[in-house]
Amino acid sequence: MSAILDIKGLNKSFGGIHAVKDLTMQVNEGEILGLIGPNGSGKSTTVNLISGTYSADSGQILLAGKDITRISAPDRALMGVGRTFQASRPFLDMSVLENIMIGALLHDSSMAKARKSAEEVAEFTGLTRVRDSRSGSLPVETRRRLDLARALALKPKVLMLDESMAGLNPSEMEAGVELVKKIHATGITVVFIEHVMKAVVSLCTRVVVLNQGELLAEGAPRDVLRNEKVVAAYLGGEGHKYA
Amino acid sequence: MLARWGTRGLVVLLIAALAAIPFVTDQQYLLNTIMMIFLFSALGIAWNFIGGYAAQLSLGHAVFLSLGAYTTIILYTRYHISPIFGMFVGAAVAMVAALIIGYPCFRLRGPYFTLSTIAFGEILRILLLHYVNFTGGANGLLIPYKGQSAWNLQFDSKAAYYYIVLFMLIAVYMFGKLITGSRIGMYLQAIRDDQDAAESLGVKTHNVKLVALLISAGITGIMGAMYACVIGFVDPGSVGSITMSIQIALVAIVGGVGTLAGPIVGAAVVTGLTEATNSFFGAARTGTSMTLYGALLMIIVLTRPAGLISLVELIKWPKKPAKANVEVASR
Repeated sequence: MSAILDIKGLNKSFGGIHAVKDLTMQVNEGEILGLIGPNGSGKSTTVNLISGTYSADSGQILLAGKDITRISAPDRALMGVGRTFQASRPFLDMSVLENIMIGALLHDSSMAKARKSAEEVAEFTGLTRVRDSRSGSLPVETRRRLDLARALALKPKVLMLDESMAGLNPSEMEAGVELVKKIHATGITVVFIEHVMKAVVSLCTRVVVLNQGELLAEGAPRDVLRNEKVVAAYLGGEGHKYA
Repeated sequence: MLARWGTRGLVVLLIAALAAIPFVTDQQYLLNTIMMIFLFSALGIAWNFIGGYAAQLSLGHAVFLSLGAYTTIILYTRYHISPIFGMFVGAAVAMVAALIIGYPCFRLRGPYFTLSTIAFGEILRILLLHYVNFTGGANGLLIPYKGQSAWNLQFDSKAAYYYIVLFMLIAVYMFGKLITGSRIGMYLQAIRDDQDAAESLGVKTHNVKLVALLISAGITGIMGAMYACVIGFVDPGSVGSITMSIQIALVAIVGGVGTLAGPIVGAAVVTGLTEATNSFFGAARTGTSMTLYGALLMIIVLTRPAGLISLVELIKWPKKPAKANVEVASR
């Protein structure tokens, strides 16, 4: 499998805090990669660096072989990097459909085309019934879906989901996992950042573990969750439940 | 649908009523006050493109206003170019100034744009005072009256100006409607809500903010030219001061940022208040209107941060989303 994202020696510091240290990792085309690690391990910073929300201090990010390290976030979106945020961030004064249209407008030349694309994405993500609701008034699960739908409207090659299951109850999480599988089935590569190991194990084909900004381990989910360093740094007793 | 037609009908009635006022009264003071409300409404709508929709606080719109006004007057008095053309040249000059302010500032986040607008406003005011031969310095420039001429935008009666400014307000409002319903309008709204999220969805926030500022400056330049034609005189103290910048921003903030109707409400309140304080207190207490602005602003920010227009929206909004939420919750 070829790497759609190739990250080489990536570094990012915030003042005295070295959030990402010399990170080298790949995301293979067509896989669902789990990116896990304790709080403050650099997962979200890595996503922000890949999406262009943060600029890297040093290192290189290649998207399908093309260096995107110094390219702006909007241009990366145009090239196929989609993402959701850890805390759901819908455009509160807009309706659900308008939120999705913002993503769709990137590729659609007219408002009518963008609306049609957004309607299709709303249908795909199960948001048709609330398409005209103001996004500020939505419950958590629907907001999470909307985040995902908005990013999906970009027609991304790689979709990074930053803790998109946070705050969901078990049945909502199950529906969320099914939606991610459905998205993956369309050929989109998924980077799945999550603390809920059950979801990671059921979705991911490969897992990368970060700790204190560094790569701690990578491999098949069950192998990684059995890894002593991962158990010590992150999972504690919980790791063996899924291994 | 019925509600929409009802609102449209109400707007048409309101415009008809406003258009009828010069037939009912020939009181120059009243016509002038209403005309100023129209003018500041249009200025507030223009300010809202950048201050409201893009959430970039400008305290220097007097720059664009005075560039529009001075350019038009200078072209007319020195080169005999009709203000009808002059106002578009003035708008272009204002847009160039906007480009100079906005291009570097929108690359940064934080208060840099606001600070730059204040600094630029002060620089321009000093330049207008300094280049006496060209701008008339502190004495300003007077438009010489050459008799009634539509070509030169000079009329004997205030009613003619009244209708022109009313027409311009309607045009600015319709243009605003067009912009807010367009791609750029949606992008502006997204930027206002969450810039990072907008960028992650491919919105080039720097360019979008710059376009909003250019539109805002262009309209302000045109309205500045019209302001000069109506008053027949400009000086740095009236059109180029920070007080003018604050008054333009205040109209939108009091009425409702990020709305089209808000600045019209704001202009009516702010202009009405200015005229009332001037009438009651006269020249003896010139600071009273500013004191009342300050008090009004504090009251509105504390009680209705979305502006006075939100009182209307409060009645209209909640029904539809509430119904949809029940559907989501019951899934």
